[in-house]
Amino acid sequence: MANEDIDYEHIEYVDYKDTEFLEQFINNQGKILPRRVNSVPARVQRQITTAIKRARHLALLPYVSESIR
Amino acid sequence: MASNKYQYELTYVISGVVQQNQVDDIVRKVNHLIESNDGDVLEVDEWGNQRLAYEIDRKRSGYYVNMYFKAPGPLIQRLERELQINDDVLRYLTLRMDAKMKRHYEKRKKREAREEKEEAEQAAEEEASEEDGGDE
Repeated sequence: MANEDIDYEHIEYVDYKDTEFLEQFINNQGKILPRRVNSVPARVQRQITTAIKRARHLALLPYVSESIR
Repeated sequence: MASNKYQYELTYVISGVVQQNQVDDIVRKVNHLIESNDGDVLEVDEWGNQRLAYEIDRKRSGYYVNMYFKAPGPLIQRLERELQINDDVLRYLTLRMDAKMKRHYEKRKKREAREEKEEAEQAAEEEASEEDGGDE
């Protein structure tokens, strides 16, 4: 899922407003993917987790996205 | 007093069914509350009406306002209380900006300024090339 070309080591701050970026790290149900799938540094994974949770609170990202309509 | 001020980032979501003039009222009220209590509003960025990722109080869309300000700590409690009481405000999030967030913010500011400049230059160039006869 994670793009190998992007240099995740040099990410200093993960912004909760950048939903396009955060969407890479959730599955189609809206769950946060584990680090072994995302393959990002632990420091960045922690920040992504917090950012996704903040975005969810503001309804920028879903808590649960209905896959079946 | 000035040393007790911190920089904050606040995002709040106003219900999408609220009229535009009422939205402006809320935004003005928030800004006024900060400014009248020894705070400085640095930037207010209204994202406008957006679809919510999930339904809140039967509403499917919300008006997002993202702002940056400097204020003394105790003001935040009062500000959040105001937002909590207001039924038109669906969600809010206040973050005190640490060094990393500030750097990220400055970087974004710089990028935006550069992009604006480039855009202006490009527009000027296009205008110039048009005068030359259309070729680039």
